Amino acid sequence: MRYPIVIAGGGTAGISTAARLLREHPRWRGQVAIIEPADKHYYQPLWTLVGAGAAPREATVRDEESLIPPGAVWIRDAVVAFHPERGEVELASGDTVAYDALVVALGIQMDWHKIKGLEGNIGRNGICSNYTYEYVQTTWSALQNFRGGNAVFTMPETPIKCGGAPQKIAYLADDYLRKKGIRHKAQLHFVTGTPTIFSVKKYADALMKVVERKQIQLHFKHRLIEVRADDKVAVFENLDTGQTMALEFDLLHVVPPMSAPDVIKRSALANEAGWVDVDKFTLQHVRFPNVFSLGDCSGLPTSKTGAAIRKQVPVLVNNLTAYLKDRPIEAEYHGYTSCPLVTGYGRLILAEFDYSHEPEETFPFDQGQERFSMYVLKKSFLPILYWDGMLKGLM
Amino acid sequence: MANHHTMEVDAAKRALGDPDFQAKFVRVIERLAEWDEALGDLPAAISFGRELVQDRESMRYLMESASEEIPLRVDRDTLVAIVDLLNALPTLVALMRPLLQLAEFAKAVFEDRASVEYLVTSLTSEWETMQRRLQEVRAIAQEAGRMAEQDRTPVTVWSLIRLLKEPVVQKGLRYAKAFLQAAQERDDASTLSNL
Repeated sequence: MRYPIVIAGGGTAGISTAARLLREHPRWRGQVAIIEPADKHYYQPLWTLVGAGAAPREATVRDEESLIPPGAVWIRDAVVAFHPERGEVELASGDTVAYDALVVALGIQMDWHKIKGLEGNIGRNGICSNYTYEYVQTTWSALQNFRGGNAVFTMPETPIKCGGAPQKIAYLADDYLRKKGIRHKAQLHFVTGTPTIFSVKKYADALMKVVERKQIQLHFKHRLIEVRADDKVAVFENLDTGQTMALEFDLLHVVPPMSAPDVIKRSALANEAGWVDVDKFTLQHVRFPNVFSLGDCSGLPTSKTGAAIRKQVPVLVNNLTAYLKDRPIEAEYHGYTSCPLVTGYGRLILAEFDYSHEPEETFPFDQGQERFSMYVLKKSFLPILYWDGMLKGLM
Repeated sequence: MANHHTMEVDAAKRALGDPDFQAKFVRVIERLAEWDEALGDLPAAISFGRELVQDRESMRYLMESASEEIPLRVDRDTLVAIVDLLNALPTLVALMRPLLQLAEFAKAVFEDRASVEYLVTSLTSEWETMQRRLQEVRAIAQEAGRMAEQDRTPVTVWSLIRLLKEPVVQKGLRYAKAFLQAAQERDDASTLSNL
């Protein structure tokens, strides 16, 4: 098989890129192939609210087939190896696909196995996670069944998708327990591998006030290394001293460590950390000029979110087109990303910033304040903008 | 002349003797029937078109009936306007592109039943909160109105100064000041660029 443009991955980045490419170049119909094995596509940003019982899980899933842009060819298979030196990708079926230009958009890999004792125990004894469609209901069940004690929320030190999600569920849990009238029986712990609550000072300051108001105990620079499910004990490692800390829990929300997909790590496309080694402005690979990458699997030094992808897609499409037409590569991405930080039911801080970690806000008011309007934006409107705007190549 | 003819015959003989050419020739003959079928009524349509163009009476009737339906008045001004429009198209398209995208987005939303249902359900679930917040704002406005109605004390310069120190007023004034400053800077920049 050979296609002029091959997109590895049919998630947010892959579909948005294909849609925009074909919208801008209708003549390329039939020449853009998307390699994606999954038959379902998820709108993951809503899982925080699903886990808190504020949105239905069904609203976050659609058939992949319904999202493949008209004119794109869907190769329902998985990439098992990249051969950029000869312009080919190898598929699980044994086939190879040759290309003139490749877009790598494989997303991020969740390394659940790196936490000892976790696998097979999510959904048991108050252990839950918002990070997959299968598990997200376990959070809502755990919250509803919680009667008091320690509620522990974890965040790894690795790059993760939607960096705000681990703390959002802690804020929602606090709100839920207050509404239920049992907050006084609970101790909430947020245990994170990061050294601060958020990477941008303006929002970190605002979030520290939220944490204080909600009386959540913070533990920085701690990584979850083991879950003793039967004893209901979570074991953390202090990243500075190496000492371990055991915390008993009645509810444990786990965010697994994440990394680049293994297929990228073991390929010539990877940088030292395993992510696709692209120029942070042009999204073009630094060694293979016919390879581009965006989204979670790319080595772009910004927060891995759907909002970031929304701004990366037009840049990538511009530069990919320029490459194919032998024109100079000029479009630049400056690291824009956004994190709608839900701080409770009906409250949200809309963080928006760039590579310099300076706020780059959309609205003409202080987005560092908790607002109901921004909560409605996230809950009601962003899913629509995603399904009908972004994935259609319109925004 | 004879020489030229001989050269052509020789070239044809050489071509016919070439096995590759022979194979292609056979393929063409084999596919003739298929091509004839694909062409369908095209030759008849071409003949009809040719007849129609040659039939001046029919053409005049066609043009007259068309001009009744589409009253064309093409003169110099029209041509100038067409050229102006063509020249303006890049600007017009640049202006219209966001609107077209918005229209396409709106169309996509309305055609997407799952999205519409989700939006309605989601907004309905937040309606209670919205109503409560609106009621709070209304209550504050009513309370302020009542207080203002009852307050008979004169508004002095000192009370205005005290008011100016209120954080909400300070914030609003700071915003207004910054807005004017930003507007002035933009104005200055555009003046400089025009020099």
